Amino acid sequence: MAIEAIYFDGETSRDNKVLISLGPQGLEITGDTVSAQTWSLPGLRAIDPPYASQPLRLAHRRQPGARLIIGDRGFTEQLLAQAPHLRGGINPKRALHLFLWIGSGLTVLAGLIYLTLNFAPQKLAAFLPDEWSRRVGEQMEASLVEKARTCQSTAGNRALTALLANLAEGDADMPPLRVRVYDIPIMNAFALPGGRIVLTRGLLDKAAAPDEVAGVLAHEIGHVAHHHPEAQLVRIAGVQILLSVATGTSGGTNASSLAGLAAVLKSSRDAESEADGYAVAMLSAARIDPMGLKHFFEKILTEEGKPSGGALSRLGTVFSTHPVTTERIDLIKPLPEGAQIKPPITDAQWNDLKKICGP
Amino acid sequence: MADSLQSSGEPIRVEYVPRPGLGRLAFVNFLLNLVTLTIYRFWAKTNVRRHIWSCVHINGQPLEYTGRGIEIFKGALIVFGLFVLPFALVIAFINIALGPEHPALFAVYTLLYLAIFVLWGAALYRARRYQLSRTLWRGIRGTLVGSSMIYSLTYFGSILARGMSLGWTTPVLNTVLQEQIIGDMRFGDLAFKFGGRAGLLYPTYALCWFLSLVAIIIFIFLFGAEVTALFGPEVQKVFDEIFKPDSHPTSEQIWTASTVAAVVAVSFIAMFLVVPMLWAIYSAKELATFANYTKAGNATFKLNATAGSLISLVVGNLLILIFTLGIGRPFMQQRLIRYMCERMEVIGTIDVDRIAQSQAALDRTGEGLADAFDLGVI
Repeated sequence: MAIEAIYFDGETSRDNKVLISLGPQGLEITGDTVSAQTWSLPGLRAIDPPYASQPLRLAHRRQPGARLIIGDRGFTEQLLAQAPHLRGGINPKRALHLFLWIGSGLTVLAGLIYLTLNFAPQKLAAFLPDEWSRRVGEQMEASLVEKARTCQSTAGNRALTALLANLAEGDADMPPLRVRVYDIPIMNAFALPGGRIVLTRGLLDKAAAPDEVAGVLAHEIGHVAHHHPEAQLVRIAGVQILLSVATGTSGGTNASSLAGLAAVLKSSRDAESEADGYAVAMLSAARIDPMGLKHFFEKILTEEGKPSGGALSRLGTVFSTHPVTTERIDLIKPLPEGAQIKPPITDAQWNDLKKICGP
Repeated sequence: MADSLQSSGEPIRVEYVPRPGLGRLAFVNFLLNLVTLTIYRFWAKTNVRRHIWSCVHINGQPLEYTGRGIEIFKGALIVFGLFVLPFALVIAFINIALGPEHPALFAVYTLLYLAIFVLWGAALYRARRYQLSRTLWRGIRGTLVGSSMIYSLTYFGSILARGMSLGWTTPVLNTVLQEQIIGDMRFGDLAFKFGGRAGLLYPTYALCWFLSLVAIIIFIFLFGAEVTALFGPEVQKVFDEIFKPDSHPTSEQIWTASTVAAVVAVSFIAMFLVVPMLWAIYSAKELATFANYTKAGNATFKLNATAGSLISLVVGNLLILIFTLGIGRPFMQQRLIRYMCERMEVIGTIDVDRIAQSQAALDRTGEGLADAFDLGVI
């Protein structure tokens, strides 16, 4: 039983009238303007899934350019019964290909993410030339403190130098530092690339004793000694590259800086406990009471509930991305009974330091 | 035979014959995009095109989209490796080595934006060429036979000229660009031709230009009046109070402040809605005129585009985008194609039996730049 159908050969746009029938080898096609041919059933492909009111459109693996259009419903049903794969649904081979492509893409992406966030930054940070860290640290400090005044006074500077010298007794290999106090009311301290440490007036105001400032400084020196600021720099750059991998664009600065911050959060927890460990060791070796650091952390914990606002919220994030937790506080233990403790600076020096930003 | 000697070809009828399944497609695409961190988007796009193309019937025969997701995925990978990644690496390097405030960073960003502008036209042209070469009708595919770089330079030049002339060169430039792309367009060996002067567009252009100037002036005036009325000393006090640190504003103060904010926001939104709506008059005129200027075989085209219908197309699409959170994007594309199909008429005849297959080589990958620039191609 032969049925009329239309055949496009893919060479010209002419619609060839052909007769088709189902034979033992498959779909047999004959016509005046078309060479007789047989399309095997497994090689058939439906252009669109069969849909009641429209003719079935077929292609064949052996003749990728040709198309066969069958309008007859009865014949279509018969064909679909013998070649059910034409009904559509998921083509397992194509689905597998797709799965492999996307799967390998995602695997490469996951590997890159791991490398960028957890592995590479700390390894690369140690190799960054000092010149680079110095330059970047200088620019970061300038943009973070914005127009805030640098606090300086002869006596205050002397007190700060004395404090650092006493801390240095706790670590013979203490890295070279450049500590500055800025006239910023929000309580904060952070380490930047190139051995830069920034303290705020708010921090000095809130500190009840020199032990507390010594503790915070030791913690920030810990970051410097472990190259954490440099590692963070590498990490943020890596996240930006990753984002352009994922989105396929070089733009999107806003999104990338946000995501960058989120990525930094995770790994900086480890960095914080590393810096805590360094601080406790340094303080103990320098015979300074580590409880000062503990007291200061407790202060931050109570402060954290309050909202910070305005232009300084940018600085506020430095503490909020490195949250002080009770676990961290609990890890700071007092020096053993009978150990000799000395104040990090004299009371007079402490007074001078407190007044470094003016009375 | 006698018939085909008499009149070469037959009249052309374009219609959109919808079929079910687009909603399901949109939803599945959305889910898979989510799971694959948007890598699936290339296959999603392909599936949607296959569906929509198959609904466009010309003289009873549907179009067929033969593109593959993998082709545009590879296209995106190539552009990523040659364009996106080098820039990202250089920017990261400068950030680390020279610092975030270094002038070299500014230079690289300038270069990046310049490269995007220069390549924008090429991205459009190549995306169009890829789509045409993957569109089959009666077994025959289309193509663009020209150079994408020549088009891109023309396009870049047109951006500069448009800016320098305060927009007044737009009709001429659009005509030139359209002439280039339509002149390069082939369907098999059937060539499209485009010819006509931009002059016809100028009255409408001038009308829209002056209307939007007037609209902007009115809005600036209204806005100024609003601000003085609303930001009198009383309101100023309320704002001072609210933005004070540790403030505890009363509900009355919050109400005043939010009313002021709402009025200002509404007038801004109104301006950004009214001006584009005015320009719909020009867009409709341009679409209709360009269709008139286009020829293929013995046929010319007619597109019944009107400002009102364009506005309802765009606004409707915007609402779909907002209320489906982007999941309904395929329906936006469907509405656009449907609009074109329903409003397009072909006048004259085309010898649809005698078009020979295109001999142009097929691109193996496609749309990389278009994906990188996030062009709104369907």
